[in-house]
Amino acid sequence: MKNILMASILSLSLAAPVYAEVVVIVNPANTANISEDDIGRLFLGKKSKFSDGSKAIPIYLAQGHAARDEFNKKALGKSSSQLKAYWSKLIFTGKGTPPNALGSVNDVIEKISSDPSAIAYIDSASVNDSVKVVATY
Amino acid sequence: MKKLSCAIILVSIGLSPLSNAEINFRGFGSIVGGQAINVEPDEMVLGYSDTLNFKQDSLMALQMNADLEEELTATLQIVSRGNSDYEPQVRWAYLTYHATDSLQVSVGRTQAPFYRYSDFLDVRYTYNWITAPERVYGIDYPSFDGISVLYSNSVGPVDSTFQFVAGTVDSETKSTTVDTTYMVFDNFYGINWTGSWDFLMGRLSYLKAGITLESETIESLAAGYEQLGAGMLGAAQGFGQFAAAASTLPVGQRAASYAANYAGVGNTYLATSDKIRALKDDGSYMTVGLGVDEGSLIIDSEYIQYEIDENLIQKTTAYYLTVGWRVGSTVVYGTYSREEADAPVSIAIAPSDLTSVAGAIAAETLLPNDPVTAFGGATLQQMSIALAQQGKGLSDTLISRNRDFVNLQLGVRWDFHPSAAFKVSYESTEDKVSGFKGGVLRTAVDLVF
Repeated sequence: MKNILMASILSLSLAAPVYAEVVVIVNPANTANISEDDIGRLFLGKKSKFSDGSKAIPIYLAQGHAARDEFNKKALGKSSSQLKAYWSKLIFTGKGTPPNALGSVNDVIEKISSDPSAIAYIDSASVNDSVKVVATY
Repeated sequence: MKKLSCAIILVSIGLSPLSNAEINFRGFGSIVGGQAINVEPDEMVLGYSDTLNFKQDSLMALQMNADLEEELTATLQIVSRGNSDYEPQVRWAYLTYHATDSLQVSVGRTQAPFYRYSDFLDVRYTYNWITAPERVYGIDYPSFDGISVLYSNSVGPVDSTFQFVAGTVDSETKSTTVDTTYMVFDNFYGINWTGSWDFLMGRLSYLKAGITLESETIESLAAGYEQLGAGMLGAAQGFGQFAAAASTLPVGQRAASYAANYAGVGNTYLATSDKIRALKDDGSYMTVGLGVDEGSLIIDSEYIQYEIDENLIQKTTAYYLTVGWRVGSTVVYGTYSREEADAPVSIAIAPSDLTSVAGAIAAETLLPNDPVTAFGGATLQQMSIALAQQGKGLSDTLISRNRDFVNLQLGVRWDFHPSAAFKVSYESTEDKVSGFKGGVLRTAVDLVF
């Protein structure tokens, strides 16, 4: 009991590491207006279409990517366990399923550049010409 | 040969996909260890005695989801609870049709929106308590079988979800506040609204049903009323016979009035025993919830009120307030919860008090004093006085049987792993009517997978 409390106190006092910026990317052919509010709703499954009415497929980065934690915190306002709890509520009540998560940034870029309905986030340093940046956090 | 062809058909079915269903398995679980503190060896607090117990609140669950395309999904969720010796129980089994982005219809076995956390009460990873506040969540409602329509919309920044349910609840339920009860809700229907706006959450629910309840408490009380009623009718008959035989004497005329009194009151006891047995009685249930989660500060509260017409269970109100603080992956919280219920006054006073009549009977000197076999060898006079006393005693007990419990809980949640949380809590409970106090210390690991 004492050890656990100590461990949790220690984990609290560790300083948060510094992250690069996170950008939200879509296919260059996607011309929909995408606000920060839209991004929040799309990535929390509260919306499944872009503002122009076309289908939206959000893609997560797999657990362990710094950009994922950063995006969760800044765009969704949730820690990774809060996000897990959020999706658990929907999964186990049949109200929704979380977006697919891709294992690498390259996979994400490939998916976005080939699918006009996909939307994802990556660290700003990984952006190239095959994708369009619609928001920066 | 027949068997073989059967086997071949089965194999070929197994090989050729019946549909392009994508099947997913997920699960969740909680292992909870707890022990009551500062109690006598035979006392229980929230299901715990003074020895360490890992079964009471532990559970494991598996969910299968089949995505059948064309907006149709099938879900089966099986939960095994430690306090039922991990016997698997189907909590959810339903089909969902996603008619549009904002409208989905589910049919089959789901959970009715009695509580804010009803839908994911077993998925304890989704909240900070080890178990939801006992005073409000004391009744573990069984699954409901029927239809559930979910409609969601957004007006400005407010996201709303409306849920309509209709069907039946028909199952045994376990609770720490009443003994195991067989519960049937007929013509069950309700509406629930949940709204969220930034870090604020609000909820309203109203449910109605025809309620049938069976439990030992209810049955023994109803049987007691029946015995008293039958006894009084027996006494009335005795007075009646004596009155007929001695109709010319003043004592005979008084006996006729005793007979009328005992017959009247005896019939009321019999009629009241029917009320005690809840048989499709009108029940209503409403609840209000409010929550704040703005990152660090967490506030959560629910208020419920329910009532069953002319029943042993009177108007009951319960509420809780949780205030918590989140720092990184740790949440510290305190919860105050209270449950109050009126005494079943209408049942207690429905039969009139026979005390003054019994007083007059006690003063009689000319009543027959031969022992009556039907009265267990007592005389008519002794029996009628005893029945009046028993009736009065039962009424007095019932009229004082209001409920008032207060629980206080202090706890910590720590997300030590991406899919698991460690929790510790101490919960005290006080019965304000009997004066009983006790506490439980529990630790838990909750996971989702």
